[in-house]
Amino acid sequence: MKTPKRIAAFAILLATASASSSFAQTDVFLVAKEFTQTMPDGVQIVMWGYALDADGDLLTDDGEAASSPGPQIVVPPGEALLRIHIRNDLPADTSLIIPGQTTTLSPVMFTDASGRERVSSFTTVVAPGATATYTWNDVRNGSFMYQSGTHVAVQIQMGLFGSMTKEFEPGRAYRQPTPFHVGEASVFYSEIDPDLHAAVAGGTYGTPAYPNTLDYRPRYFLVNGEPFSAGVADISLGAVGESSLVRFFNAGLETHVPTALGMDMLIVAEDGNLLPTNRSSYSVFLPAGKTKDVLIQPEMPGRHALVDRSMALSNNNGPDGGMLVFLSADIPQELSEAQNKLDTWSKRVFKAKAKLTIAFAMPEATPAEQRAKARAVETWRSRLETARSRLSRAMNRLVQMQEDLDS
Amino acid sequence: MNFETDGKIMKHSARFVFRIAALLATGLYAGRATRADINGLEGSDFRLTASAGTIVMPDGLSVHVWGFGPTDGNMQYPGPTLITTQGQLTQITLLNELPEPTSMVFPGMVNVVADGGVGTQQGLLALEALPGGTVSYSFTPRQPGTYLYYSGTRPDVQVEMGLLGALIVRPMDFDPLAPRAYQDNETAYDQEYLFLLSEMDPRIHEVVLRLGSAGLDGLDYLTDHQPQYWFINGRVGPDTFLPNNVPWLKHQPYGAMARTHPGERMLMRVVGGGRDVHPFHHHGNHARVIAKNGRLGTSASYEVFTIQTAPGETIDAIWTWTGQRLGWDAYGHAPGDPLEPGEYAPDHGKPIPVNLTELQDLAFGGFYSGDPFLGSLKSLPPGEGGLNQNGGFHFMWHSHTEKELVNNDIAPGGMMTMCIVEPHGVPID
Repeated sequence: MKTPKRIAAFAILLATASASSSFAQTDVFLVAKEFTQTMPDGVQIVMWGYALDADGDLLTDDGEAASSPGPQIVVPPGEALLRIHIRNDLPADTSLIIPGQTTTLSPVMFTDASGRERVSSFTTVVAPGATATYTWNDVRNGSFMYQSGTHVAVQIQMGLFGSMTKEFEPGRAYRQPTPFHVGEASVFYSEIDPDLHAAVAGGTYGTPAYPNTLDYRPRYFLVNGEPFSAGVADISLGAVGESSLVRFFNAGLETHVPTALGMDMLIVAEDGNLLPTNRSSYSVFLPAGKTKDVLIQPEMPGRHALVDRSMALSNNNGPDGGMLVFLSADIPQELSEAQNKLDTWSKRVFKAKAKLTIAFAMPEATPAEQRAKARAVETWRSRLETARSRLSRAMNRLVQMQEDLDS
Repeated sequence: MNFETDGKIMKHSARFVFRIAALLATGLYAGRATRADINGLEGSDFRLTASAGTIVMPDGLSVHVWGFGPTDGNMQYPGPTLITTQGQLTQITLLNELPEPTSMVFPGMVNVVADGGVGTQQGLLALEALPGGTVSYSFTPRQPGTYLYYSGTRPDVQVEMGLLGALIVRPMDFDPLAPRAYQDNETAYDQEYLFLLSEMDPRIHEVVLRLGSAGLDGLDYLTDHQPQYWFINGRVGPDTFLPNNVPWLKHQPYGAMARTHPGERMLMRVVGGGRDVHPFHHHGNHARVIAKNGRLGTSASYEVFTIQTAPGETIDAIWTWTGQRLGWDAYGHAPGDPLEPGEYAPDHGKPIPVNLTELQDLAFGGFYSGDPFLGSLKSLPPGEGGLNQNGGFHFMWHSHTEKELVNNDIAPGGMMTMCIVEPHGVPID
């Protein structure tokens, strides 16, 4: 599975020459560009996505591969400022907005054929080939989506979206009573209507061939940019008993209901807002544009299906695909180490027993042979005793850990 | 006829009917709890069979359905409501008589153990029973509440085909004489009803009947889903009004008509069984949502007049009707008359604030008793009324997505039923 690159957007501390005060700023350099993605049934889809500019200057195309969702933008706790610098390598005007984060927007209007004034972009556009900077001065913590603010019904559908997250403090997504988490994962839901993508790529969108998104009929359903097929990687939740923060995003145009089989989730936040009461749930109701954060503390090692209950479970109407992914939990490291120890000592006990049997069978015709045999018996008897005592300690420790885990 | 006179006649009539009903209740139904229980299988060891059958819709169309049923009974839509108890090891053994593999999943249950030998295979989401095979699942519900179960094998096809049902977990300390949905007094109830909401696109059923699930490959029915029927408890309106187990709906045994008495607490267990959101609108009063997905939320309960059911999610709510906010006495009492049980006392004896019209100026619905007051029956012109034997008040409960109130484009029908507030003394079972 293609995992969106996670960038801890780098903070540069600039101390002014005269004053002792300093401020932090966060700069992200993105390129919006077209790319082609192959669906599990071999169909090629023209996508629009974002790439991280490799050298951070936006001057040249360094051949970066764009993805959808785009790179994860992580604003460090305590940072108030986010600047996204973007170069537009797409064939159309685009822009960037982050619903839920405040900034000044300058909508772009146009007059349509009927003389009506209408909005084509929620904020200033960046023309094809040009660069621009979008700034947020008061970034609040939570889970948000950055996305195109221009012709949103089309451009978000084409793939122009990604996550913007900020923790309240390191390891804690929201203020108290939100607990600290160990693991973290993002689950992005999106859809593809191949006819819409073909129309946009072929320049026939907005014509009778595909007039508008009222005709939207998605046939591929993606989690983190990929429809399910055999071989799609699991989302790791770390070890059993550890708390993981899972951020849910719906960048599609339809409602989805991720449902965990055999696992409870604690829903803690919605649209980047801490909920007044935490609610345990096996499913997350996720309408278009929604973000929800949950905490999961797996009880059992293994794989748990996360399946869309609104039944987007096919790839172009073929079976066993769509919005399905598995959450996997490992045996805790301590437990697995204890198990390894148990294995090791039980092998040594076995070996010592075998060696002792051999030692007992050694010839004792001459005094030399008798001494050699006595040494061997003594050695292996002592090693067997040690191995047995270590085995029993390992066993007790494992039982204790299992009990702790169960309680 | 002026209102005063009319009111008095009404009052006597109402009290007379009430006495008769009370007499019937105490005489014929002595010792019997006047409580509606959800129809289903109770226990902890359930034996189910998945098989195919045909349901006939009110507009005449036959729909090929796959459903779960008790192994010693009919295939049914939805599958049997399984009623078990918190902390009780629960086992479900499934025999597959369908032409394709099938399985069951139980969202909200943890540590579900699947067991099966020959005739099973590991599917994507669950251990599956092959055609003719048997698989069993066991789990111990940790928390009470309303849940659902459904096929874990191509659920986009098999749940549409009908392989789903409700799972109810009673609290560990459940007392049938003083029932509570959860271990919390705010979840105590007098009447209990299930509203499992689902929908069907008959094109899919037609293809599966002729070609099996594989026949859907290359069609766009799964992604361009166009339901024509919308169900409550596996029936569409007006079949929803019929009692449980009527012989001519042998694959749809569950009715969906709710009945209660004034002042009683009705537990609504609302289940989103299909793939669409259904806003379930209950007329008569607001309902207090006490739990979602089987997790108690009484400390943060809230009132709604439309219960939003998301696919695969459940909501428990308490609904009560007393006549509060009507502004008039629903029984037509004179101020000196005694209060009825559950009556909203501040409006006792207040007259109905309209002039009641002569019969010849009225058009009638089947649910009109001939009289506007609760528990009162009056004569109607020949052929009118007849669907309201106890003088109860009828409230339509339905999907607020109004296009879902049709059967294949014929209205009224679909996701629609009635809730009847019956006068006290009318037995409800």
